[in-house]
Amino acid sequence: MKMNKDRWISLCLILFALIWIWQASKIKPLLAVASEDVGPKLFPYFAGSILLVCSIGKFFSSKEKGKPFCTKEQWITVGILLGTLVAYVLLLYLVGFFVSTPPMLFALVYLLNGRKKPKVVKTIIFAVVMTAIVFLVFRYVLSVMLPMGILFD
Amino acid sequence: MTLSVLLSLFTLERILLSIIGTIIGIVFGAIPGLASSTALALMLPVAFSMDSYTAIIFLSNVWIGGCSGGLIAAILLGIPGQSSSIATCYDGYPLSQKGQSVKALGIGILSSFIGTVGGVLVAYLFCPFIAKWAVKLGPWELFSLCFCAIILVVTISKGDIWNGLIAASLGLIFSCVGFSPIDGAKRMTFGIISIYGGINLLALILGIFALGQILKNVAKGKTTNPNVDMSGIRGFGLTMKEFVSNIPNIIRSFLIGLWIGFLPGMGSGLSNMVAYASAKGSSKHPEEFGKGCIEGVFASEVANNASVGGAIIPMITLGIPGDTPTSILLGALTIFGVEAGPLLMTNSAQFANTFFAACILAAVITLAIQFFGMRSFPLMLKIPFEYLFSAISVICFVGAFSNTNTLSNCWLMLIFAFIGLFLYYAELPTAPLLLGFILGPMLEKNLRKGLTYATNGVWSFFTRPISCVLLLVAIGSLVWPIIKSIINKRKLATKGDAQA
Repeated sequence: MKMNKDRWISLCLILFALIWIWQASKIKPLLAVASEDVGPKLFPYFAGSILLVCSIGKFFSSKEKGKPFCTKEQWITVGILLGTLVAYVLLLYLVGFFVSTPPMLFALVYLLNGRKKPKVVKTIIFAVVMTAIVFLVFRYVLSVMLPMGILFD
Repeated sequence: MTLSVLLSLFTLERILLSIIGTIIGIVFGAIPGLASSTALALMLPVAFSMDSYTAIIFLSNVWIGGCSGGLIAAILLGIPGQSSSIATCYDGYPLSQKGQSVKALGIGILSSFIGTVGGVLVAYLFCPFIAKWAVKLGPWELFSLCFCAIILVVTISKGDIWNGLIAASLGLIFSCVGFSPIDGAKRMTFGIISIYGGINLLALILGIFALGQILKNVAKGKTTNPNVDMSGIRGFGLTMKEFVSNIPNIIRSFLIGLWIGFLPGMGSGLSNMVAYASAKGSSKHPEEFGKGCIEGVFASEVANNASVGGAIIPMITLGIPGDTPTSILLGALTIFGVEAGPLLMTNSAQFANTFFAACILAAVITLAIQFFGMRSFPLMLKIPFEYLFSAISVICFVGAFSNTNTLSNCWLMLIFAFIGLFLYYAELPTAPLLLGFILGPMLEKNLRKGLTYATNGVWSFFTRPISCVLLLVAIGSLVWPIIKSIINKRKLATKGDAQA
């Protein structure tokens, strides 16, 4: 049997289902509500078993597909994009919305633009103005709270 | 109550407030991450400064506006602003990609109007009768309904049945996290306090549909917006013939939306997907669904707005809210000293009638605002991809944060963005996952209740007629494709024999 993309995905899912079922066996019921009650473990077992059975089914029924999802370069861009988003949340936690949003917007414009080169000045203006708009709209029009950062709190 | 009394209640000041309320609702509905429930929660303190009639008129406008606003982001950006517009994305977004965004918006706006007005009228006329019958539904019927809904959505999703079932089971798995229903045992929380209450729905939706989709587009190198074709658009952008041919679809979706909205705990988030599934199932050309088929937009938008009417029925007659927005509205009623329940229609008939009238008014205002805005909403797509989507990403983070006022929700959203990317990579459909996640707690609660109350265990789900029919439909639709393929193979074989 040859391994292909679908089979690798199925294997990952099977592994996840097994870990899930193992973890589900450790759930402790708080109290006995009624003697007929099946308890909090049944449903996680049920969901995990469906996943297990279907992943095995997928493993054996998989067919080879020609087209790859994307190229290696595109994977790298996606990786950097994910990293930027993680960094943004970290910055939101530390320095808050005002300081972290303009650089994040600037970085995102560069990452999302594909092959074209965005203009630096235009992007900087966009980043600052957008931050101001989001702040004003959310804080004063919609009266929503924004993270202010632990360093400035 | 005479019409003149009702009309006298709608003063100029109240009508102006209605318009403001509707605009607030539409804006909240259209921004990914904010929903009509958010709008209601935030406007509640504002409404306290008004008298009870003005407040209920204002709040119902916010609510109805919010229910209809979701379609804008769903159609133009492919991001459901809230769970009620998920199925709208499936066909509305492809239509938009083809340059027909105005037409898709027109259909959505018109369908929303039909759904809301029809739903509210039915609620007004049948409130007392339906309430009596509804109390008889037990956990068995509710379990089977949820189960049937999940299976229906699995069978309509693209790709093979294994992928659909895997996605649904992943949804169920995510729904298990946090305190269990009924006894409150801690499950799979690994000591992380922020997920004790379960995985936040908004973080999941924004992660998979907004950020996940942006990641997918970047991975696929799809970094340009579609062109918008504005030429030759008149009225709602669709022909009379298209509308007439969709009337059966509209009626069916309307009834589904009404019925699901009426069931407690299940609102527009479920009805749009079930209506979409049944529209696809009974369509003459199901292969066009998901590629920009107008029937799909009709089904989803009629159903999610019809659920508004459906949700009003138990709220007014039984005092049971059908979903989050109605529970907030119910809270508002209580604060104003109006007790919802069987006696509301007799004790405060004028108040109840004002509420119904306000909902109809809200539907009309929403229609008018969106009709005139319809031609300018798609201009959003003229903004270059990188600017539009970097701004949307920031709004997603703010939306996720404001939902719980903690950054842990943003982390959760990022995790689901990653999971979303995995789903797209593995070609797993997203709809069954979401439905499994939304219905998981209902499914579990009713399963456990049903087993506890019954004397004959699992069989009790089959001995009750409604429950049995729903389960048979579910099992049938799961097995039918397999039987069909066997029959087709046999036919081919006999044909081959005959030719030989």
